[in-house]
Amino acid sequence: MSATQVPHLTGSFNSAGSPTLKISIYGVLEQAKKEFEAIVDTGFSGFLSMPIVEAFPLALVLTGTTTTILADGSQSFKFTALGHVKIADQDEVGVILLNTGQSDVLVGMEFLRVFKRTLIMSHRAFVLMDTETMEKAWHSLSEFMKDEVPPESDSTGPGSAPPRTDI
Amino acid sequence: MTDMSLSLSNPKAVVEAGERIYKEKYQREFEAAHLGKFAVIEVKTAKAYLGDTPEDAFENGRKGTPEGVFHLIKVGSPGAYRVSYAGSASDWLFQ
Repeated sequence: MSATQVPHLTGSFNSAGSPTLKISIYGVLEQAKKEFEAIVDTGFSGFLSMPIVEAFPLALVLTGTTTTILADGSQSFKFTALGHVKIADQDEVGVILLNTGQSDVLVGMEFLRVFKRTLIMSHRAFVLMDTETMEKAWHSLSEFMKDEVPPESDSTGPGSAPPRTDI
Repeated sequence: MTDMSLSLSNPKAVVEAGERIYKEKYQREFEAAHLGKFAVIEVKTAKAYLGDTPEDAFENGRKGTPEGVFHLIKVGSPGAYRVSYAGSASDWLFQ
C-alpha cells in the first residue's frame, strides 16, 4: 500500500482553535442519525460525551450511570448510553456520556481505541490515521533507520550522523 | 440487599446504590484480581459484570440482566472516566 492509499480521517479546527471532526451519532435506528462537529479532546478518557437534550432524538440505548473525575479532582455523575458513531463508512458502538447541562460534543481517548485510530496533529492540521497502518509504517521506518545509521561506536568523530531517536 | 424499585428516573439513587454495592460486595476482590478493568453493577439485583472495556462490561451486563439498570465503575479508580473540564453545577438531575 502506498502512502497516498493509507486510510485516514481529516479534521479541521473550529473558530476557538479546537480540533474537530464531523461524526454521525445514532442509537437503535440509523434513520435517526444526526451529524455533529465533535471536538477531539485527549484530556477526556472516554468514547463520546454530549448534551442529553441532543441525545433524545437519536434513540440511544440508555444503560445507567457512571462517575467521572473532573480536571479539579472532583467527581461528577453522568448518564451512560450505548450508541453508534459513524464516520465515512466506519461505524462503531461505544459508551456515550450524557451531560445534563450545556456542553460540546467531545470524542476522547476511547474513541481512538474503538476506531483504531492514531491522532497526528500540528497547529495547522490533524488527521486520524489507521493505527495498524501507522504501526507498520513506524516499524518499517525503524528498520530503515537501523540500516541507514551507523552503529553508535563508529559515530563519535566529526561529521558523524546525528543522534538517533527511537520512535 | 436488592432494590427492585430503582430506575433511571432517579439517577442519584442509581449512583448511590451502584457505589454502595460495589464497595460492600466487590471492591476488595476486584481490586486484587481485576485492577484497571471495567465493571457494571446491576443495581436491582446487585450483580456485577466485568469487561476489559466499558463496552464489554455493558455487553456482559446486558446478556446477564437484559432489562438491567447499571452503574459503570473502573476497578481501582475513583471514576470510570477522566474529563478535562472543571466542575459545574450543571448536573442538576443528580443533585
